[in-house]
Amino acid sequence: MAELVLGIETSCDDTAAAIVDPEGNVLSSVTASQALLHAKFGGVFPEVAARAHINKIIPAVEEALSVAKVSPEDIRAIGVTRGPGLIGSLLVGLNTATSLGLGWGKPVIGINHLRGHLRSADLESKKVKYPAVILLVSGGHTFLAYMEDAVNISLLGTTRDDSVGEAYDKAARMLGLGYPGGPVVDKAAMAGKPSIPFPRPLLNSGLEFSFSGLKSAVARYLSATESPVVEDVSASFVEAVMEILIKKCQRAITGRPCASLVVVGGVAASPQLRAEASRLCEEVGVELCLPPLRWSTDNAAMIALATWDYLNLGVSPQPVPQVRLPISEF
Amino acid sequence: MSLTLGISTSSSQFRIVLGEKGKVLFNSGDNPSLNAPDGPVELIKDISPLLTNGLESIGAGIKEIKKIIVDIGPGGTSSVRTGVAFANGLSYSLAIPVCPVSSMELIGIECWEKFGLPVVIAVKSVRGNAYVGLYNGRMAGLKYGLPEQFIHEMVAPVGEFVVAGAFRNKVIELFPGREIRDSGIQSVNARLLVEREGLFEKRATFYPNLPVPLTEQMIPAFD
Repeated sequence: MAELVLGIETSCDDTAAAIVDPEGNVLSSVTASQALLHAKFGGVFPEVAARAHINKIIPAVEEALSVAKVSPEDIRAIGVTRGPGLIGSLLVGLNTATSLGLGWGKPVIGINHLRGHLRSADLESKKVKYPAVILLVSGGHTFLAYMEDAVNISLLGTTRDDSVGEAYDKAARMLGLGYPGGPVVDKAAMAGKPSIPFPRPLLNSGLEFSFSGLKSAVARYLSATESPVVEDVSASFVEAVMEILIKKCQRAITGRPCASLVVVGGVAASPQLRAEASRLCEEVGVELCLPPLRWSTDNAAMIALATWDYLNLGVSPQPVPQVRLPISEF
Repeated sequence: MSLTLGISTSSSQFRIVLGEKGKVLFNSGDNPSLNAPDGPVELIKDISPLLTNGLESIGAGIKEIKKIIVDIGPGGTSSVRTGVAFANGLSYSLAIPVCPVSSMELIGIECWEKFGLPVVIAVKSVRGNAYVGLYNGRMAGLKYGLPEQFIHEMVAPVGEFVVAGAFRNKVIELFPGREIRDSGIQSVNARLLVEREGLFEKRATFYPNLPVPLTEQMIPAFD
């Protein structure tokens, strides 16, 4: 009996395929990163990303099947990211998945990338206690959501401009630290002092975020300072980001019934964010759920787990691209 | 049935052609409801409805497709990429060969057969650049760049020629005072993917050597 899902993820710059069972056990997860290709641009270059997906997607699927030691007959359905994401990247994943489904005679379901991220903390073992507040922080997204359970999700607040990951990338580029920005800025911050009073936009109001003002403040500081200390600028930037993220989480948790705080997305790999989130959860008495680092960034295992939710609910969105797709939709 | 599937990707609308032994059995271009310029947006983004419609109309199943011939461009970057991704996934899942052919060659074949003359094919790109190909019974040249910088050198070995492709007026402009024959052909005739399949069969390939879209970075390999 076919009891596995093949997940495919190509929303941005990672080409990924994974095999996951109904319990969330990951039989294989393959991610072909394009970070090196985009490093010279200081961010993701959409045309380059789409071209690279073409080369990498079938090898990723082949490897996922091979590592899991399964054949297409073992697959019940294919789940593929339908959005949000870059149109060129989405099209490659969706059309590859569609033709695989036609050839193998398997259903293909379009999956909301954001719902994949929200489910990533439950990969390999069910950790999330509901109701939960979720903070998704990545290069493409920054928002807080409320999950009554695994599938009933409402948006609490999102960013009005840049994502936090974008702010990290831009700060890293201004500081000459390379790409991707998160790990290098966090590392530099650990060796510096948070001595520069960068702004904390929207800190004291609501659950929305804004990072463009912080990014601009870093730019202004660097252009006005003769010999800026990279480590101190990094530490000050990271301190401002953390204060914003944690304050918003605190506000979201205390305003509604909440058993756990879940932090997902690429920026969830930040040691500073992990430490601050842990401190907050101890303080307010909720459980902290952090996915292992390998599930924090874009991956296909989270898409496959979300596919099981869709199958269990009987929802089956068409595998056509949706560049913008809110978290409330499947 | 032992079907050949042709996928034309380089025009504004995908074309799916199904045929057997060089005879076309289904051409999505013949179905106005599938190919209307104001048709459903999904058809631009998703080839599968065209294919399933085609298979149903000739009473065939997906596993009766034994070979794919795919147009790898140049053309609309998203549509070419989408078509090639679809072709590769189908080739892999059905374990059947896929044969890549450029849109320049397909246009060249049609003109060569019609006029019996060398063909200069021009496809517009960005910032004044173009893909320009020379076909004289086979692809004899392919360059990317500003056509005024290389077109005269490219056509020097041939005498009379005919122009084709959506940017052919640019070629005519570059030869003032010379009478250039205009083929009037500006895009791929998808039927040729099946009707001339014998020309492309030697390029049959399987995973892991699947086709990629033809881009300017690849041109030296074709020149």
